[in-house]
Amino acid sequence: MDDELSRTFAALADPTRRAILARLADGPAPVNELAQPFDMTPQAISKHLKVLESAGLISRSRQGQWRPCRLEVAPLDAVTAWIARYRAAWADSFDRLEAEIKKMRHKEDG
Amino acid sequence: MTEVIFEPGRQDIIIRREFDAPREKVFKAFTDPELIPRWWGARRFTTTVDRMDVRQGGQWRFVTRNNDDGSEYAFRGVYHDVAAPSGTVFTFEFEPGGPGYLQFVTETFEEADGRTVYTQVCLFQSVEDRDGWIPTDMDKGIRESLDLLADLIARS
Repeated sequence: MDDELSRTFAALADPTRRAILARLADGPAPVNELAQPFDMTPQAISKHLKVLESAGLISRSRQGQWRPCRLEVAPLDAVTAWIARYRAAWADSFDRLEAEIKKMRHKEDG
Repeated sequence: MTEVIFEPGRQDIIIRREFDAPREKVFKAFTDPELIPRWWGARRFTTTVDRMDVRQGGQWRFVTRNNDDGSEYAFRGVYHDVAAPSGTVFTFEFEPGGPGYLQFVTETFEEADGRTVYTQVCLFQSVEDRDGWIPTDMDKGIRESLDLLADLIARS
């Protein structure tokens, strides 16, 4: 597994960070708004945001007083594409198995 | 409908599929060595059964051959438990494998109204091992919809 995927998964493995991403799926938000639902110090939130940022899952505007955070979907594309392909491969195998089960039943029914 | 559940931070992959047949039939089909070459593995591979002794303590080993380049891969394991027709528990290892490739697989067959829900839970030894199952040569840049992303997050 390459470093990019490792970082993506490591970043996603934390419930606080997933909640932050879920919030950002609705649109960009400033740090204080992202911190609001959590009973955490600003330092703790900042640490989570740094992990998300280094995984490329969020970006922060360098300009403006509020420096809003924004969701970046590119790292997740690789993951979702793999899951989709893995699912398709199994679906294909199961389709073939189901065809065999149908053949078995036809034989038994005479 | 085939469902794959791959949640961040977990060390398992769950695969689920409904079959339009009673579970005795589905279980029999899954555990029939003669049927394996007709369905198991990806379509561009030819699978042969080297060993498949479906009973407690029995061994299994499949060899798959890539039809395009002739390369061969083998998978093997041991049946920890076989309880027809409700399920099996077995190990799954990629040869030559090595650390990170051993999975502990639990299969269950549940019947309702003459149909069978098949569920396979593949448990890896760590979250890192499971995530490492994602091949490094996968196509990049295939842009899936935001729905899939939302789904991934919603399931967590």
